[in-house]
Amino acid sequence: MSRLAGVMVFVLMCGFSLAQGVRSLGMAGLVLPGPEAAYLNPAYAAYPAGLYGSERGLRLPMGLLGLVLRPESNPLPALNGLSNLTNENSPFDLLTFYDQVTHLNELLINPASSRAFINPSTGYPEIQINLDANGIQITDYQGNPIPLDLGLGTTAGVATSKALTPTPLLRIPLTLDNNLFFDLGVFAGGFGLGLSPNESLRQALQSGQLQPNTEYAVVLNTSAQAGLSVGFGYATRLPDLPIPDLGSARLFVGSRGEAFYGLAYLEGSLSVGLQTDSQGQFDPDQPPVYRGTAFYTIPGSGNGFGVRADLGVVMEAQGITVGLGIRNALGFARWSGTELRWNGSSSPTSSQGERSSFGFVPAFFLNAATQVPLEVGTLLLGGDLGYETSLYGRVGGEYSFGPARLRAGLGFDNGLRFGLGAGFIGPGFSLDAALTTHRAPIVGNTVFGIAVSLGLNF
Amino acid sequence: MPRLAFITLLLLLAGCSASTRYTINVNVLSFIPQSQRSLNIPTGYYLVVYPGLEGQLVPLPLSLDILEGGQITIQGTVTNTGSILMSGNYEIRLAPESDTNLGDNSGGDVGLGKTNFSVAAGQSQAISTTVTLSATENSAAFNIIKSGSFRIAIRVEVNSNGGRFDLTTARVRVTGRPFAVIK
Repeated sequence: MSRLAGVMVFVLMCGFSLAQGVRSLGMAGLVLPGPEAAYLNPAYAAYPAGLYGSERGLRLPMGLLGLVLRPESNPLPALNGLSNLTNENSPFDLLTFYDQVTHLNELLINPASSRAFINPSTGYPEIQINLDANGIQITDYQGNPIPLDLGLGTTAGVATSKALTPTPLLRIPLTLDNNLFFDLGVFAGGFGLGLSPNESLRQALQSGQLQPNTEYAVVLNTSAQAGLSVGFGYATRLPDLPIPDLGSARLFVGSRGEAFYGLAYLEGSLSVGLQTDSQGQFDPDQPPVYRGTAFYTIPGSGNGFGVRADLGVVMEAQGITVGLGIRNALGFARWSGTELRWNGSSSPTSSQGERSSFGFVPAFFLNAATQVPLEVGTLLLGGDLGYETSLYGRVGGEYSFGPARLRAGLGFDNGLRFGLGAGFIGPGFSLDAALTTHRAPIVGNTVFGIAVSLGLNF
Repeated sequence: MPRLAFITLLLLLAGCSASTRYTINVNVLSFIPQSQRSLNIPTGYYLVVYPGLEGQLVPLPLSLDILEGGQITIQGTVTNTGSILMSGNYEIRLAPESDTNLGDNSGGDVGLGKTNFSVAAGQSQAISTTVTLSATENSAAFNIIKSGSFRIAIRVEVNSNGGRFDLTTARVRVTGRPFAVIK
C-alpha cells in the first residue's frame, strides 16, 4: 500500500512539472535565445545573458485558488461528510474538479463542466445509456455519442525518448574557468496519462453494435520519471566570421554531456476488457480480461542511470540570433525495477525487469530571435522549431514599454496553441501573467486559464 | 454485459456532477427473436402470457438503489382476421429475475397498465401503453426494476374468431442519479 502511495505521489509530482515559464506561455511556449535555453542548445551557455530578457519568478499554484473558490470544484465540504458533495443540491461537479486539479498551475476561467449535458426540458445534466441485444451506446440527451478519452501530457517511455531526461524542475548552472560549465538538475516529468476505450470499444460505442469474438477494453497508459542530473559542458565564442553581404557574424559553439541518476520511473499500459462470444454477446458471468505491462522503479527498488551527449551552435549577424541544438546525439539509459504483467487475470505476475536504450536518437531544436527598436518601446520577435517525439514550433513576440510587457504567440505542439500574456517589472518585484488554453476532457470545448508568476528581487 | 456497463459507468463518472442523471434505455424488443414478435390468436377465448410464461429477461446493468423513476412503453397492432368483433385486454407483467412464472401472481410478478381493446371484423387497431414507475406510482413494479435485472411479459386475453397481435415497440427507460450511491 505504501508503495502504491509512493507511486501516486511521484505521478502527481511529475504532473505539476508540466508547468512552463509564464513569460514563455504568453508567447505560446516560445523558447528565446539565452543561457536559459542551454539545456536545449549547449552553445547558449556561452551566450550573453539577458539579451532577450529572461524568465523571472516562480509560478504560483493558482489552481488551488480556483479549486476552493469555485463551489463546483471545491472538495472541502466533504470534510463534514461526503453527502455534502453528493446530495442532489450540491453544486459539486467531478468533471470540473478533475479539470482544475490536473491544472493546478492555472486558474481556469471556464473549466470543463457537466453543465454541457444539461437537458433543458429536465434542467439537470443527463447521460443516456442505450442498451439493446447487440450493444450499448452512451450519448448525451440529444443522442450524440460522448467521447470517453481522458488524458494529460503525452505518454513516452525510455523506448521513445532514449536518454532524454525531462526538462529540469530546478537547474543550478555553475560557470567554471576556461569556458567550462557545470550544472546540477532535479527533474520530474515526462508525465503522460491516458485513459481511453480501445478501437473496438470506440466503434461499438458509436455504432451501438458488438462484433463476435472481439475484446472490448478500456486502456490506461501512463509514463513519468524523476531523478537527478549532472551536466558538464564546454561552450565558447569562436572568432567572428566575415560573411559577404551580412558583415561579421558572431559564432558560439557548445557541447554538453549529461549523466543522470534516476530515482523513480513508471511506464505502463493496461487494458481491462470483456470478450464477446461467437454470437457477438457477452457472457454475464465472464470475468474481465486484464492485459498489459507496467514497469516501475521507486527508491529502494531499483534505479536508473544514463549518459548522453548534446551539441549546439549559435550564430548572430545583423542583430538576428539563430541557434541549433542537437540533444542525445548519442545516448544510453538503463532503468532497473519491477515489471508487472497481466496475462488475462486481474492479478499480475511480478518480476525484476529493466528498460534500456542506446543509440543515436537525436532531438533537434532550432530557434531565432531579434529585437526591433520602435519609436516608443522595443519589440522582440522570435520563433522556434523542434523535434523530439513529434514536431513542434512557435512564433511569438514581446513588446516592452517602460516597466510593462505585452506578449503574444502562436504555435503547434500536439495541436494548435496560442499565447497571450503581460508582465510588469516593479521595484523589487516582477509579476507575469499568461492566458492558457487546453481542450476540456470529455466535453471537448476550449478551456481558458490564467497562469501567474511572481519574482522578488531583494 | 453488466461488467462492461460497469466499466463504462466508472468512466462516465468523470463527466458527472451531483445532479447528473443517467437514463438507461433498454430496447426489450431487440431481445425478442424476430420470429416471436408476432402472436397468432386462435378462435374462441384465448389467454396467453407472451413471449412465454418466464417472460423476457432484461439485463439491467445496475442493481443500485439510485433509481428515481422509470417508464415502460409497449406499442403494437391488433388485427382481427375473423368475422365477428374481437374484444379483449392486455397487461404488462413484471417480475424479478428469480420468478419464472409471470402469470401466477406469486413469486414476485405483478401486472400493470391493463388496457382494453375491441377491433371490428377485418380491421386493425394500433395499441399503445406507457406506464410510469416511481416510488409513488406503480411502486411494486418500480421496486422490481430497482433490484436489477428483471423479467417482462405481456398477458393477452382475447375473445374472437382469429387474429394477430404484433409487437412493434417494447422499451424500458429508467433514470437514476449515480451520486446517490455515495451517502
